Amino acid sequence: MLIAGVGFIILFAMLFSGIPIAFGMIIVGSAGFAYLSGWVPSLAMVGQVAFDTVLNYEFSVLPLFILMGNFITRSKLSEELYTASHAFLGHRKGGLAMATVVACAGFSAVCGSSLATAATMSKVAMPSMRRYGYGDSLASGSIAAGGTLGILIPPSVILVLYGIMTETEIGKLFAAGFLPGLLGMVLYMLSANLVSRFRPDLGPAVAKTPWPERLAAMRGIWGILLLFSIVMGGIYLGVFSPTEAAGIGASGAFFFALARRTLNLKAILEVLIETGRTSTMVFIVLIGAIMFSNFVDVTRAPNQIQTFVEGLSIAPILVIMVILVIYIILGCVLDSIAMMLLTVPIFYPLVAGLGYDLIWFGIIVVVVIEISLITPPIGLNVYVLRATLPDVALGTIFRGVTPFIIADIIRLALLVLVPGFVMLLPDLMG
Amino acid sequence: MGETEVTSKSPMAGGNSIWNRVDRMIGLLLAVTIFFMMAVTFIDVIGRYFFLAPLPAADELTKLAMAVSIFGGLPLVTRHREHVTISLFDGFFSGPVLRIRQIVVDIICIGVMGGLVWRLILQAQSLAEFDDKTLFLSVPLAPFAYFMAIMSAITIVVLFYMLWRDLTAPKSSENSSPNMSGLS
Repeated sequence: MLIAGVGFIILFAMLFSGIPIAFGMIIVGSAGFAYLSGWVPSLAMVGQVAFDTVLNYEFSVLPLFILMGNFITRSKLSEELYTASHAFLGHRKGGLAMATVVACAGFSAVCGSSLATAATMSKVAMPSMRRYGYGDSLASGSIAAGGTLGILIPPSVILVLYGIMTETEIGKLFAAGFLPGLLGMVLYMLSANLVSRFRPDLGPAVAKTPWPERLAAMRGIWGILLLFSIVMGGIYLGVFSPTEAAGIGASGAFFFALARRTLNLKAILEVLIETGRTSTMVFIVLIGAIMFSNFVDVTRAPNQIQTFVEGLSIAPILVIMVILVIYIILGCVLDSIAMMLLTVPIFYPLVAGLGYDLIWFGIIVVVVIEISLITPPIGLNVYVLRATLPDVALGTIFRGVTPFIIADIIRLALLVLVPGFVMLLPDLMG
Repeated sequence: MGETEVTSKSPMAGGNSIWNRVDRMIGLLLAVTIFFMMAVTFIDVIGRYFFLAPLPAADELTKLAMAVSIFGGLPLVTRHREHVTISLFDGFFSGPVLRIRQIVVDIICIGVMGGLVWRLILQAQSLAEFDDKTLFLSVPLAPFAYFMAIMSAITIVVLFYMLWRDLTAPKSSENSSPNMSGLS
């Protein structure tokens, strides 16, 4: 327990002084492991973990889903998504902000990254909302918040990493993310609508789109619906393993982008190299996280914490609340992937011991990470928007996301209090 | 709707310095392996469900491609300073302190990579000694561990070059924009 604590303190000191997260975890993980089990096993672990983590068929799910998202981003589907949701929602109060949220959710269904979703949608949605006189705060806030759906609505890179660390089924995690993602979308839409009712100047309604045009706009998005249905439907019905689905999804996105003539050889190379680099970045962190988690395991701290908490005999829900508070605090200082990989080895035995389902906990962790993506000081989605929209002040975006953060907190409370909602789809999978 | 092209800088290095050439070569290797991985899975799945003929040993091909693409990317990710780093407190430090910190971080990274090279070579030697092969295709595994060691060694060279630049650069910090994981 003490040793694990010291390990965490040293690690945090390293990370905050600028050592890349992966390297910090490798150093503390192998040194801590060596301290408890001797240098020889620890050094053997380093080589073995590095080798086994990359020579792994199942883990190819990560590069392949990243590839799918990158091809989709290139295919400029974001325009059609936004046009279609604009056609159906634009005439309502705050309708374009609602349309933005829906388009983000649609993009999330084929992309596993929140940052990519926010960055891509900002280029389409922001100019349109400005043209119709939307306030910068509501416009940028809806994009930043809508973008966070990227990691919850499957596919999701973070959920895959959670599945690897906790050895839970990735297919079930994906199924579990679907309804909470839709709930997030609906609550964000309500927020946008409410904001526009109180401040009509921020989100004016625009002219209603006639039905023929609406139907025409729908035609633009069949591709995304088809791809999502094949990939996620295939996993859900047990036709594909997640790895196979990722390969099919990446190939589908590739053909799709080709058919839309958005790819030439140079663009294909760029997408592939970008995917390779992102995958490397993730796997080095994953290798570090596995070494660190091996160290945490030999300290027996997770068991001791579990025994300690069980000895307190307090209501399990209180324990969950404490964990959530810890996450929200950590979310203010840590990168989301690092936060997940560092804390899950400690928390998941505890949560499982309290009788909660680890699939449910994974979704809760991701929802908390979503919140951390739009809260100061390091809400990454906000910074992504700041980078793509240099003329909007950081303060304006943070002000704009506030109503959406409230929606997030309501959603988190609902998901914690009604675990059955999260588990509905995965339980049906059998 | 205007231009919606993703404006991230092209991941392909221009210029003809030795660094950029190696960068492009490794990039090409990455691109080929990633595409190979996608194609293998595609052919395997299509073959299995439509022609009842899965690609033999698709999983072995994929996992070998994984080793090549993940460790192949290491020098590039390092060179472009894309490792996930926490930059929360950077604002509190002044330029010279940041520079010294960067130098220390570079040295620590060299140490970690050195350890990794050492262990991967031993891993490769033991794989070679026991003549470990993949089950179906009997591809020997040792060369892949050697490849991982070589890529880690190239990463060390990259780190030394970056260290040298940090030591000699006229107090500029333009390339030290730290990076959070772009994956959230």
